[in-house]
Amino acid sequence: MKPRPVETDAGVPSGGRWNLWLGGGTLVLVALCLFVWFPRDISSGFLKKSLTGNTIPGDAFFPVLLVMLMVPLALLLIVGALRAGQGGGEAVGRVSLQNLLFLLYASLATGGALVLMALGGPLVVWVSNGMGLSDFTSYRAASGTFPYNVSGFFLGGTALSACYIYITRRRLRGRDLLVSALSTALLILIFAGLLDNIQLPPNADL
Amino acid sequence: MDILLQYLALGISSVFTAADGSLWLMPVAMVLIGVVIGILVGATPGLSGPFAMAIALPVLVSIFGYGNEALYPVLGCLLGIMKGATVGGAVPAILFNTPGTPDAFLTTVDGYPLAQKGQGRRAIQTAHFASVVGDNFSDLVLFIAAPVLAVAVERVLGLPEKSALIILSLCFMAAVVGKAPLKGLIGGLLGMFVSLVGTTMSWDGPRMTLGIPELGGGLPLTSCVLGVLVLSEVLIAVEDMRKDRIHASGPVQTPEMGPKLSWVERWRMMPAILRGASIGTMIGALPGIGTTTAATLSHDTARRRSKTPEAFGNGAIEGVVATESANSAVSGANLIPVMSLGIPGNFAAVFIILAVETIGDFAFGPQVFRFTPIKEIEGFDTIMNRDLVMAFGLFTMMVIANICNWSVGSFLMGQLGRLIHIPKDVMLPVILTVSLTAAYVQDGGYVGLLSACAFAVIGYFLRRLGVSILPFVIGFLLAPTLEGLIRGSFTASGGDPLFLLKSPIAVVMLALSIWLLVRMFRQSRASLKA
Repeated sequence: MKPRPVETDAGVPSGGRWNLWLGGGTLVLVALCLFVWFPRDISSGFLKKSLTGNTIPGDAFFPVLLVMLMVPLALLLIVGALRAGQGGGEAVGRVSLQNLLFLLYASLATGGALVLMALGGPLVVWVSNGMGLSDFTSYRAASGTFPYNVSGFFLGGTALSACYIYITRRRLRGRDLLVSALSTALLILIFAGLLDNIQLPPNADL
Repeated sequence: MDILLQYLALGISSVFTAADGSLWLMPVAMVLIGVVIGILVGATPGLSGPFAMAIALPVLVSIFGYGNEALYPVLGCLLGIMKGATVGGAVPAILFNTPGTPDAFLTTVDGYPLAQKGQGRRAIQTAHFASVVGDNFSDLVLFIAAPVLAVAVERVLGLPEKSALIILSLCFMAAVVGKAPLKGLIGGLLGMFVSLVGTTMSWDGPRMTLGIPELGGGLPLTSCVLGVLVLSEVLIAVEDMRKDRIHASGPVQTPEMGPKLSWVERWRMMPAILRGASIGTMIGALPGIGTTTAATLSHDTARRRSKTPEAFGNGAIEGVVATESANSAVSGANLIPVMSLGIPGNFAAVFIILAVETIGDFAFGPQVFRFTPIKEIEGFDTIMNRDLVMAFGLFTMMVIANICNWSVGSFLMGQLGRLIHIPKDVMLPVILTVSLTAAYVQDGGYVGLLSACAFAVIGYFLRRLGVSILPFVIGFLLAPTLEGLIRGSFTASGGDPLFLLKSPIAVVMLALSIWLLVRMFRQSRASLKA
């Protein structure tokens, strides 16, 4: 990671049509909210009458004010970009196809590790039952027993760290796997060993 | 005066006393642990105080729970991390030209040349001394300014004025953070917008849940902030390292450390330290302006006032003094708007507020500093402002953290050179796993974990497009307060559509907000043309 200040965004490149896209996207979001989302998903409207007959704000009052405030800002963004011509307007970065590809990798790595986390426990129980080491009827029955209750988290957590190390370094060494496994084991020790009433993934969702 | 001393005594004793009246040293221990963690985190390039606070908060809540008694240990640890990190960041900046935290970015300018000249120990001890004195100075200002400001706000501002003040703060933050104020403000509004999902104030059922029943209780606050702040930063860093093929491994050799800093030298530094601390405190008290601005301004001031300005940038000890005293003074002053108004001004303050909102029934804001007379009613209870006792308890823990920084920090800073060798390309993936686990544990399941992932993607796009994260996060946190104030103002005005424009103070604040935006927008366009 390059050292850079957290609270500032120094070095943000300018230009591109991203200001237009962002301004336009904001206006579309506002229109969707006002005409589609809010009417269907907020029950009490913009204003309502209280039991005493006074006019009081409904649940849509503040959300409508918020999105309405976005309109002039989005218009200023668009006008600024159009006036300055191609590559002008307020400073803006960009999201390239490579960035989207990276997000896809990251999503696959995270999703795969979470699936392993969810299925790892039942898999270990199934193997253990098959080998005659246990006779649990399901993972739920084993989810209070060590090490079955943390086996899925151990496998998934190790895979998650290892996948991201691989994405970062473009290679994976034996010691990277070891660090991933040890750090996950440390998390298990802290959350499942030292603390009470804490459920590691996926046990809180069984 | 008597009542002030009474509350002060109660605040100090509350830190050391359990609910049953027995001696309780857990808050003090947690402050110490926090300072040590903070110094270690600060000295590790790629990590920062807010990073560690984000991960520590869910873990601490898991350990201590949600009751009022959990507030001191949790806040003590977070305050310790915040203060420790400001000190530790200077070590790798001086020894290896790699700032441990963004705060120490400017310390490299003079610190690294000093280390190259064989004066590494002197530079590190100077950084520690300037940093701790600067931090103590700003804490003193906080202890005086926060109650005074809060009392003034409570007397002068009503519901419309408080609403306008939050709007002004958000505009100010959007205008000063980053180079894209319009997008910063849109980000702030977007942050407010997403925080409205689920929760309502009229009890007419959930809103904006898209039919997902799990969102009925609102989005999980800590997981969302963890996602947008920490996970998105990890994603950006991972991608940058992948793209640049940086296989992070630290420098092999630690430079010659050289002689110690004498007490006479320390004494001579005091005027420069106090000047840097004053600049840092003034900058820190304004929401949104960070440590980098304070350090830059202080370094520049010191250079202009120096008899040997040419030495700056080539290993001037005054340069280290200026940057470290200023950047550390920001941390205490940042809590002035937090404690007096409930408005966070930087990421560290965000986690202090998050902790307070998650645990117990204490809340920051002007109401904290009401000096209610203490009356004991026989057979019932003692009437007092318990929030004020809590506030003085927090001040006490800050003093304890400063003492830890003086003593433990001084010892630790000489030993931290090795942390540069921790490879970031291994550390950051592990942090990602820890963060997702913390999100799951804190918010009770996949709702927390998936919210963190979704907000990580939002944060990723915001960062890549150069939109500041800070207004988004602060908007996310302040939305419920602002909604309550706006609804209250509207109702109190009898349904007047111009309810915010009835008060001259509110009008001035709103006009200032618009002026700020127009000015910043023009400035950003002018700088682009230049």
